[in-house]
Amino acid sequence: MIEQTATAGVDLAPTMRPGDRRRTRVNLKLTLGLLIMGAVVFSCLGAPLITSQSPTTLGADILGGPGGAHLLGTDQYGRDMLARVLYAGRVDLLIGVVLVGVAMILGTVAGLVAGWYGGWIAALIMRIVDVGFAFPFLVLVIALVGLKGPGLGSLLLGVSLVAWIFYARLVRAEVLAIRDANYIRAATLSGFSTPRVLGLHVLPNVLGQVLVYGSSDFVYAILLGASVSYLGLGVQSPTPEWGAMVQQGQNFVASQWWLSLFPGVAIIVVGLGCSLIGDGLADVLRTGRR
Amino acid sequence: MAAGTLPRRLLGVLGRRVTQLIPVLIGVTLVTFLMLRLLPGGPAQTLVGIRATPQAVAAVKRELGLDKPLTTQYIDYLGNLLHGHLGTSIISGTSVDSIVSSHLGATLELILYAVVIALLLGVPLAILAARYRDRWVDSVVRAVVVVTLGMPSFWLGVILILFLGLRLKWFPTGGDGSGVWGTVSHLFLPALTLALTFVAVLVRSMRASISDIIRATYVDAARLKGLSGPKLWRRHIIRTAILPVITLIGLNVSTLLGTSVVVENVFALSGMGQQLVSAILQRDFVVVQGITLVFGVIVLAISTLVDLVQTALDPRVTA
Amino acid sequence: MGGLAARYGKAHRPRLARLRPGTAPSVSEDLVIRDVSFAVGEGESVGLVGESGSGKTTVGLCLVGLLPLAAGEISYAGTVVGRGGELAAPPRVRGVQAVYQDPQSALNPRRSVGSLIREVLHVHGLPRARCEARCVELLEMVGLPGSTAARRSRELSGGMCQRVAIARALALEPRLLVADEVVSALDASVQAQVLNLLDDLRAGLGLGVLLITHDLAVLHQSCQRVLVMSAGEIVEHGATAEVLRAPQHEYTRSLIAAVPSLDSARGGREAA
Repeated sequence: MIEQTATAGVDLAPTMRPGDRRRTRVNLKLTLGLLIMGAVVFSCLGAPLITSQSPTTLGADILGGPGGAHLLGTDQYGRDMLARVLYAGRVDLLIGVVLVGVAMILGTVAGLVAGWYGGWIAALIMRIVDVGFAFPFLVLVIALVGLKGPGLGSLLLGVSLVAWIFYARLVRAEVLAIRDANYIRAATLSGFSTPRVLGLHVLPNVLGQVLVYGSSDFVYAILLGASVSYLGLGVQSPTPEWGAMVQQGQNFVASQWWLSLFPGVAIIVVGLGCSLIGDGLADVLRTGRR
Repeated sequence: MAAGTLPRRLLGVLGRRVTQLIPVLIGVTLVTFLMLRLLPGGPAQTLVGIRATPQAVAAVKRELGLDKPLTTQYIDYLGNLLHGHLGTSIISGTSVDSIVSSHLGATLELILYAVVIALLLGVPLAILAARYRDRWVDSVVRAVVVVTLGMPSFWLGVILILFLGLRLKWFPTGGDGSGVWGTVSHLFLPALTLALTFVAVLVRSMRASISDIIRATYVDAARLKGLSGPKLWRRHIIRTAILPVITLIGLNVSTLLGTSVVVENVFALSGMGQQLVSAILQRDFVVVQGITLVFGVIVLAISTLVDLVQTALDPRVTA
Repeated sequence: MGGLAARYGKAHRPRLARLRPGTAPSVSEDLVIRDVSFAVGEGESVGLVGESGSGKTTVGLCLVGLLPLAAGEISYAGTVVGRGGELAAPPRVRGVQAVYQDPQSALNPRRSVGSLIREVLHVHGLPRARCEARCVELLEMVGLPGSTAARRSRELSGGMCQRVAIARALALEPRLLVADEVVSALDASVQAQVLNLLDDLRAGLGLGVLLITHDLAVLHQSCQRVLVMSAGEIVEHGATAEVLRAPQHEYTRSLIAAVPSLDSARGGREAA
């Protein structure tokens, strides 16, 4: 590509920016983050390949310490902790994906509409966003979850009703920043329909920021799901879930510390992977944007 | 530099904030109002239970004014709020106002304590990281920040109970304690837990702002005047870096309050958060509604206060 | 009123754009355009000059239908396309396109040059199979090799970006091109090349050009007629050479006096 440019240049030699080359080089943070998340996803989805134990089958070995047949020990019902942590990962990752996915889609649409159209519709959307921001996020979520009654479904619904506001605010700001860019003007002048301008010209230039935000938000979504479950309002027993597991282990923490420790470590590993991906993506975007 | 004296500017900011707050406050009350009305099966049914007789449901409806039109109900609700009435618990019969007034203190103590600990831990770390930017100290601090950001507060609480409370026996692991020292020592672990969730955010943004200040022209000017070492830091760098910290606390009040709900439940502290969760588990929705509203009002009040403090401290902010 | 326009347009040229007297766009209160009327003929290049804030860009935005008119009307090729209180009809309907100042933001950074031009062609009904060839044709028309189609704006120089923006505008076969400060962000040598390109297109395609600029040197090089705008009004108009040589209005004089380079350049030429 670059050699071609030299001969094709008409007015000026094309300005080559250092970012162009850096983009093609592997981003260390991104790679490391993807590796961590890949390993987490693989071991949770492929849990049966890693352990033959079941996360819900009761065993005779009650509150056994880590090591031996049970690598991470057993809980008060003799269930294998490794299996429980891995199978719980499926639930927690699912919570993260659903929450971020729904919030991202709803919030992006709301933000695009508010940023593009302005006027009363933007005022309405942004006032709703303001009201959402007036409550502590967790308080509003658990109040909504409580209304429908504790459970995974209420958790997903309750968070979806609120979490979009973060994306709406972000996307609206981004849309406002590029709305008057010449290439958006040009798209309008070419007589493109509004959905076409928004979908093919505005959205692709906003999506990068949304994805960077989403990758760090994934951790918060999982933390939120785990917190609500820790409080007893989310995922219910016997389904294994990291937050609920920490809560169940808390009674035994003085002597059987592994019950609470390992589920938390799992969350931290996911958190580390996601922040690395988020930072890496942000680097890539920065160099990509000049 | 700015027009008018300080009190005048403060009044200006206050006036502007309050006018902005009114629609948000109406929105907030609308949310808490609708919360109870949108209960599946209707509020009255939920309140008295599924097996209640129709007569009992009707009685509750009348008692709560649920038989009136929705707009009348909302106006009544607003009227009650203006008189400081948040409703009455269906389960215990106590007024939500008294529940709030007897538990709000514990929550605010916890948050204040946590902010103090976070500043004591975070400010020196941020200064170290910025001072030795891109050296090993900085790398260590940044690595710790990344790991702490993904740390669940409830887990952190349990681990602190295990190590500092049960193993080392340095601090009590729960309860409220009595007297000033009792409160300080009993609240230490919960406050530390809450503080650690905030330290990462604090260090990250303060490191960035201090690094910017170090490279600013006026600091160069101060260096040229021969100012260096601690004096330069005290006079120019830290003083400028304090303002963003106040802003940051304002921005994070909402998150701190949310996390305090979890922390109170980890340590069985009887604050607002614990009341909220136990009310949800008992399906005592009038209490849930009242506490949610109070949380919203606190967030709005504190962010307004932070705005005012910023105006008072920063000559560049004009009304 | 027709008489007014006839004074601007040359009789043998079909009039492309025409703003009636009293035509004023509605924008924020601090910028009011009063009573702007002019016409641009086919194959003609008209310059619109004035300092920043004089309202020249606003006039351009009204012409292409990005800002609504408060009063007056805009007509194209004899048909009224925009009246007071509304946006002018969509630009494609009446063959007007625009190119703007900042070359780096002229092209969507995430898309290749070719995909941007082909999109315009395809959306307006050219079969996909023919888009490719037409796209190369358009690029060559603005002096770029067909291989430019594979590149993104990041890989192009400012001048190349503006050429692509012009090619994209030409895809819709406009009869009038509003060029708002198209060369202001370019180096002097590249400026001249782009202005020459506009000249060639004007001569070759019969394209009418409204060149909005604050730069009198640019005006001097490529416009036959000029409109001088100040505080939302056209204060002077006429043939470029005449206006520059013997400005009638006080504002025009101050504008010319503010450009020492033009005076000294002219002085130098005369001395030589």
